[in-house]
Amino acid sequence: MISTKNLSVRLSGRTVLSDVSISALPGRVLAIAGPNGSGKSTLLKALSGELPYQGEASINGRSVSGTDPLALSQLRGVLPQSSSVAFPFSVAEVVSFGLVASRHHRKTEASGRIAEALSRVGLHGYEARSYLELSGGEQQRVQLARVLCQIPKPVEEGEPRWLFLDEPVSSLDIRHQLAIMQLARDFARAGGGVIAVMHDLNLTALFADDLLLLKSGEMVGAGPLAEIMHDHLLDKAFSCALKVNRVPEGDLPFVLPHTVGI
Amino acid sequence: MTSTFFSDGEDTGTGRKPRSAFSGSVLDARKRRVRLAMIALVMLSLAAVAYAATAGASDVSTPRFLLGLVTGDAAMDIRERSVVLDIRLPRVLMGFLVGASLAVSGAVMQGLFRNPLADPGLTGVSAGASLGAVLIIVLGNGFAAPIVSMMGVFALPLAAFLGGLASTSALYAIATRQGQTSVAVLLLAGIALGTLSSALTGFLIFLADDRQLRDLTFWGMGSLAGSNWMKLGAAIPVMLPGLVAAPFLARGLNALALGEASAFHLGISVQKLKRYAIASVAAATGASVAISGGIGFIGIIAPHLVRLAIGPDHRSLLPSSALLGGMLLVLADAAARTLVAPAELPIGILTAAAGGPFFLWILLRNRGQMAL
Repeated sequence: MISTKNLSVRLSGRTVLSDVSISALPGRVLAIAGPNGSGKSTLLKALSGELPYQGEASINGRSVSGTDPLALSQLRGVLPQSSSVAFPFSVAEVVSFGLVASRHHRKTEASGRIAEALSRVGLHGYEARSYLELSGGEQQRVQLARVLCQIPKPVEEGEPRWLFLDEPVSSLDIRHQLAIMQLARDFARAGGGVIAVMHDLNLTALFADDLLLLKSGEMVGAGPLAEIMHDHLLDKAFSCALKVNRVPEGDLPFVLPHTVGI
Repeated sequence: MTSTFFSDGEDTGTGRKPRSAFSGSVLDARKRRVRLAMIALVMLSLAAVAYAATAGASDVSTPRFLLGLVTGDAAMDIRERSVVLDIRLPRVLMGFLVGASLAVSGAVMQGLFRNPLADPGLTGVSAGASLGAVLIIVLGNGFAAPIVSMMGVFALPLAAFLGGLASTSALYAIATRQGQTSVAVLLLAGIALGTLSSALTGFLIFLADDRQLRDLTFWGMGSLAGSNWMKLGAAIPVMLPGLVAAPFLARGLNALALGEASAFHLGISVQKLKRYAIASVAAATGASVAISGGIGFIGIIAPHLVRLAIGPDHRSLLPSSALLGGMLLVLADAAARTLVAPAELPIGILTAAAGGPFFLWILLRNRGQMAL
């Protein structure tokens, strides 16, 4: 389980996140949504150990700030919002960096893990391509494969593993958006945990189990998706008139702005 | 737990060989290439050393030199023996070490700053190291006398190391914000720091007396002349740790290519890695500058050529750059000694003449990608 208590983050004297207390359970996908600058990525960075914070944050009972980078890297993988690669590495090399800190694995095992991670994101056969020559969407999927190479199994040694995804589908076409979100949900269904920063409320409605709404660094609401995805909470978070509708078949929520005449 | 979404109709544009075999073969092919390149580099380096030790104003045939090394000294007369063993060999070895150090420093710096144009010479690190060295040469009889008498021959390389350390640390602090280094800030800050160091160096030269001026002139032109076994012995303890430490940074530098945040997510202790990288660059550059003054561009040329040949993986890049850098400098020094024999060109002129156009070539090739 991941839990925070009164988690606050100050960046250069400004409070960008204040008093966030949440818990994320293995087996479920937690989506974080909110307007630009509401602290979504900051929360993910604090949870991943990248930013100093006040209050408490723990992964599987271990304090985030009190755990060294190597131990953290066994517990969670992080897909950043954007990533650049400085030198012309091949796709296989970029994915293999998922294993960079774990020295004790055999070469054959490594290439098997790389190949599997690549085919999970639909890039089977891309190993020898140069990363810098791929399209933006392909690069994002290679980065996800790199994360999956680091954290290949949802549960290891009886402990759930975690994926932190910061806008995982922002530069993908709709087919790959669905596929990557499905992959995240499969990871959760198999016992792992997923925390994803999401912009697309409809994809969130389709794939998330829990929802955290943030605005100006504060919680607007947190809980199971069905309880949080309501007009008034969304209005409050996004300062914009939104209407949650239901797909007749399957009772799925979808969100449209009020101005659209439905 | 493989997603079923991609199981049908995914056109990858390449053949569908069995998975693990395919990715295995990609990595294996590169490994074979790396091994081949390393073997070639080792052999070429040995050839360069043998050639450079025998070429020069006083000619000794290479086969006789090799024979002499194998059989003791039966094949060489006393004059040849002294020329080769007392004058040329320490100089050639020194050249190799300096070239290797500069190339590795360049490669480590490029990895640290995530940019192929970072170089100890361009970014003011060499200027900082020079300042440290000049400080010892000029104040060796005055303010710095106690240090010099305590440290002996090690004072010069140590002072250069500290100067290099100060400028590398300052450079990193200035040019890196939130784990990202801006090329423009890096190069401009390097110019500023280099200028500042040069100004202080200039002031020290202004203070220097005639004998010190002569020392400084010879040293500053960038030359391996005057190398002997003692100077080599003094430089090795400062230089070698930097060279030996570098390969241990390789995995970390690979991860750092994804940015500091991602390197941290992958389990790398980024702050520790940066500290070691900076210390290693300062040590290798400092000792090189202390020995040979300003020799530029080896730190850019060698790593760049290696990346073109075998790719950017730092595990192979660092040792290969060391070999290539050493070899290039040994050959440049041999050219400096023989081109206008019996006179001698300062080697710094040669590396700059070759390195300047090379730098421009890299710049033109990457112009589109680099947001300067």
